[in-house]
Amino acid sequence: MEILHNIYIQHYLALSIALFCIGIFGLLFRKNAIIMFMCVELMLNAVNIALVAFSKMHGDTDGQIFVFFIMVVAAAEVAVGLAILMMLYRNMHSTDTDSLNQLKG
Amino acid sequence: MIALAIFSIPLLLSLLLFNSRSNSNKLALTGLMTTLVVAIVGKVLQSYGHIISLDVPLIDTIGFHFSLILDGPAFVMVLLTLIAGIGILYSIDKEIQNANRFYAWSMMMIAAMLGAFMAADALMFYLCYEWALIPIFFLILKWGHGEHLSKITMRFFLYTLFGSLFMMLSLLYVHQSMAHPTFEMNAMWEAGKALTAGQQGWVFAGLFIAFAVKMPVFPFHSWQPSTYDHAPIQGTMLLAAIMLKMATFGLVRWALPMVPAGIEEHGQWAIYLSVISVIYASLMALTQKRLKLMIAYSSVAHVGMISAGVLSNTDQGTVGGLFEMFSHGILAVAMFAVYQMIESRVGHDRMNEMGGIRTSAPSFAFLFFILVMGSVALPFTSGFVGEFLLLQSLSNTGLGLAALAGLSVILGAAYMLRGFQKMMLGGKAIAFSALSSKETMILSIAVIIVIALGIYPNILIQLIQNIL
Amino acid sequence: MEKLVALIPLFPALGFLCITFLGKNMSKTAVGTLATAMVGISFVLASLVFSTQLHEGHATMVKVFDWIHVGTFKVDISFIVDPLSSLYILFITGVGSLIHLYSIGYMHEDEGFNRFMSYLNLFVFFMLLLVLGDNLLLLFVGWEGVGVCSFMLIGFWYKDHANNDAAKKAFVINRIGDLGLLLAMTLIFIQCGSLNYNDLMISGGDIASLGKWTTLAAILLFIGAMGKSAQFPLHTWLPDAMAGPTPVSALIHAATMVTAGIYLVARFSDLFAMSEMASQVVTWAGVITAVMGASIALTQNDIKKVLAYSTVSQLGFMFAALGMGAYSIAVFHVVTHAFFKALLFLGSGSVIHAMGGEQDIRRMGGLKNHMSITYWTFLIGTIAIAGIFPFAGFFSKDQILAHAMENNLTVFVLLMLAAAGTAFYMFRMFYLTFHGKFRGTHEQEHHLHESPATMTTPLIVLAIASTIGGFIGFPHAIGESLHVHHWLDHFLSGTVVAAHSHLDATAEIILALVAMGVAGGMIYFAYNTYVSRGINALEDEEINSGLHKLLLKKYGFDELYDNIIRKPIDYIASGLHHWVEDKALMNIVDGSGSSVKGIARLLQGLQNGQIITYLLAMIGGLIALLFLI
Repeated sequence: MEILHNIYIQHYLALSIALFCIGIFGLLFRKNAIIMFMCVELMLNAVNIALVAFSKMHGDTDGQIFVFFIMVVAAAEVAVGLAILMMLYRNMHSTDTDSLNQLKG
Repeated sequence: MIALAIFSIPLLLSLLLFNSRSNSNKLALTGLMTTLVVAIVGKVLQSYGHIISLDVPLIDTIGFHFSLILDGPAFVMVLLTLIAGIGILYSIDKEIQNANRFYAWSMMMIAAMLGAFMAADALMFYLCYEWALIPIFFLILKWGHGEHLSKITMRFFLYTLFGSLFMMLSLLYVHQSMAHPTFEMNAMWEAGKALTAGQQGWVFAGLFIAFAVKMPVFPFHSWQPSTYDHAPIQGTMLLAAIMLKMATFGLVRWALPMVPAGIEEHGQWAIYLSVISVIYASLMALTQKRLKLMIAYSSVAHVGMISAGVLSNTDQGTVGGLFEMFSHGILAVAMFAVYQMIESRVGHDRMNEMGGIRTSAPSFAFLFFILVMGSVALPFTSGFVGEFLLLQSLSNTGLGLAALAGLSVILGAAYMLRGFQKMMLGGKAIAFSALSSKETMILSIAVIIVIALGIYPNILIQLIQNIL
Repeated sequence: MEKLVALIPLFPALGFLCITFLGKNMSKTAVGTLATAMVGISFVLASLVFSTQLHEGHATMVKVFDWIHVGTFKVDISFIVDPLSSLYILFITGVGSLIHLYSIGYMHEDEGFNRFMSYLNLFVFFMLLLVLGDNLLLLFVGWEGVGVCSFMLIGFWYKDHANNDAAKKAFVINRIGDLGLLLAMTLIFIQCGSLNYNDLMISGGDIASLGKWTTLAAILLFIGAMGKSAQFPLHTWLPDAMAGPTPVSALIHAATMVTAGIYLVARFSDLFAMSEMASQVVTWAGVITAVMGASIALTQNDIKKVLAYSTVSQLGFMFAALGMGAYSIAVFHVVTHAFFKALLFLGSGSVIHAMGGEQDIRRMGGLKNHMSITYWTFLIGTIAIAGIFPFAGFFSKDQILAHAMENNLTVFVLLMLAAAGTAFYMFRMFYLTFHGKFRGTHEQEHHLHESPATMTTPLIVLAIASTIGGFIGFPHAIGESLHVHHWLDHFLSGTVVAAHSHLDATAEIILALVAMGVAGGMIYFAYNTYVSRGINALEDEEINSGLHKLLLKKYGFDELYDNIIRKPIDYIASGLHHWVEDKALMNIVDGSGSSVKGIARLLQGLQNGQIITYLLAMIGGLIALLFLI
């Protein structure tokens, strides 16, 4: 537990930023829709970490309540998103985003 | 309530026709005749003091009412719509595909136009004005003919739709200037008059552009010839006889009472434009080789005259304008019916390639000649009364303008007689079967109306002036 | 009695309707009789009305019904009975019924007989409306109505496009005049607030409130008159109008319709008397027309064309008289001219009938022996128009010349010249037609015959009228010394501005003698050339002199108008059609459509469907937002 006292807010934020950036870059540079989807989750969780860390620092629970909301939304998102991905795969036989360009004007 | 009946009988019939299969022609004609009877009965009742108008608030926050009145001008236009409508639907001479839908769209268009003529609420006028576009769009697209049909229909639709937006802007501007915004007619008039002349000028500009596109007035007319040409003939009749009257009627009903100062001080350009339109369209008619286009351009010339005379804002102008609208509506139906008769027999409408029809069908030539005379505004035809009053009104603005517009008297005679001569006269007689009794009936009734109104115009003039 | 006047136009209208709708089942004789009878009844009624006017002589209005009432604009279908209109209806129905009678014989062989008679009846109806209307608008109804009838009758033989072209030309040129009249009406209404003669002139005198617009209004009215009465420069339609059947030329294009312009100016004599300038314009248009018409007639070889140009020229005389303020004398000339010109036209019709349709006087000659009634009546007509005492034309023409002498010497000399020309060309035509040897084909010679009684009776009646008709207007000066009033001038004095003559009896007699001497000289000259020396008129190819060619080509007005009016209009119209209508406007409309499309296409690149692009844009946007905050 000793070590926990030496972990300050900066460390949490550093982790959060790192995760967020991994998420963003993954989102930007991967073509596979499932991986992109996971990257989005990663970004959400990065935000969650930051929120919890701030919540701890300030000593109130607002941030943690937010986290719950985010997790609920993320769960819903997973349900809908995966369903969309399933349908996409069934119709296109691929989850490569480059081939998903039929909505262009 | 009677006003509501006039509006809703065609509308309900239209919905019924969408789902019916048989006898659509009889059903539609009966419906229109019933409506005509209802309208006349309503007018008679009104003269005995019955209230036949209707006013139902729909959206209170913006002051939008479903409001119908049947005053003199509205009644005359309703009469025109119904009489011309009966004539148009009666003039169909061959089997149409999907006839019930054709009639349904036509009836819906008539309902929309009736709504626009009877509207006592600016927003309602605007909605009906735009609503009428939808049926005619489908009528042209589905029953039209010729190359590039969809392009031409699209051009017509977008152009007129675009023009109307300016009317919306003007109406909204007047609307928002009120302390308690409402679209009710009298309130709109008062609010419009309360604006400064400069503001009124802008409001008028917006209104006029919208109407100018629909009428059409040079240089906003370029949608018209090709649309008239490719539309089914009944669609052309609906457009020329009734639909463009919504625009000229709009001038009388909305522009004149709402922004008189704007017209007088900043709206003279519209009169000049209308006069240019008269001459330009007459010249265009002079160059046409085809009957249908010639009639189309002559219609532009007549409408330009109406616009110029009405905007001069005198009693004669308003009454003459409404009179001419009625007369032109009847003449337009009859002229396009003549076109249909010729086209269906000869197979084309290139005037140079015809001749001597008078020898084969003298009574047709006789009726056509009277219509031509009505169209060139010969005295003792309805065309004369309207055009004379309009010219009289226009010369209040300027005798020179009246002289310029009057040139159409000469040019009109030149192109109409040239067309008549090429088709009907001459030695080489092309085969031309005699008119059927139905065709004779249509032309005869038109001729009777044209002459009766020419000899005794007071009957219509009194109706117009009867503001209840 | 005056109430009867409403019935006068009704009968010809009834005749028209009956023949149009019931004529199919009637024999030609029945149709002809009906049509003639209808105008005949009108003539009887007109005589009754006229005789009451003789006693009373003041204007009475007979209202039939309200016509157009809009705000302050009130015009009724209402008739005026006064000396001027009653005189006009008298000779319209009189000459009209004679010509109807004549037509029964003349048109008997034509398949369009019913149509012809019905049009004639319709014409008489509109002509009566024109002169009976008590306001300008009703006059305009008749004015346009007779124009349409004229159109239908000129193009009566519609299978030949030459006739149709002539008809159309007449109508369109008339419409130019009609526009003038329309504008005059609007101007008068705006300034004076009424179109009724009664308000304007007879009892109201509102015409005075035209003020500075007086001259303009008068000139616009005169433009209307120019079109209808074929005055320079709108005269070109009348000679072409001879394409119609001859009775039409007699009724419409000589006796009645073309004199409507004189009626109009005489009716508005109050207005013209107020404007010196307008009067000058009228005078000079008249003089130019008179001289021009007479000079062209010198060279024409078509019997009807000669008469047509003669009509143009005589109308010019009338307008010259109007311009000089001699309104009643112009009306007098209208009446005498109606007699002798109708006679001449009907006579020429009789000749054409006998010649089997030939109209070229170079192919005639010696007809005197074959058709004596036509010959003698034609001779009377010719003498009357040449202005020899005591025939009708002498009195009226002489008084016009007398007025010219008083007013303007140039005008006098020019009119004298025209009068001399008239005597020459009329006798040239007369001699070439009736004297000398027959120059046509054998068939034609064999076919020559006198016309039937339906045709000769009108000739005889008109010949009598042409002989004695002049006595209704005995010259002032001579008349006073002989104790004979200038009856017509006196009769009309309530309606038109009276003519004032200051010539004394001696001067007038000298003038009359000089005028007759000149005419006599011309007749002798014509006799000498065409009878004594037996010279025939030149064939077209033989003509070398430039002046002769110019005259034969009618001074080239048709070509001129074609080049300066019709062609430029066609050119402008097709230019506009090509450049503005098809090119400019279409490109603007379609261009604005495609420019929207072009912008859309530019923006389309952003919406490429690649999620990556959208994400980058989103993140870029977020970062930009961060910096902005």
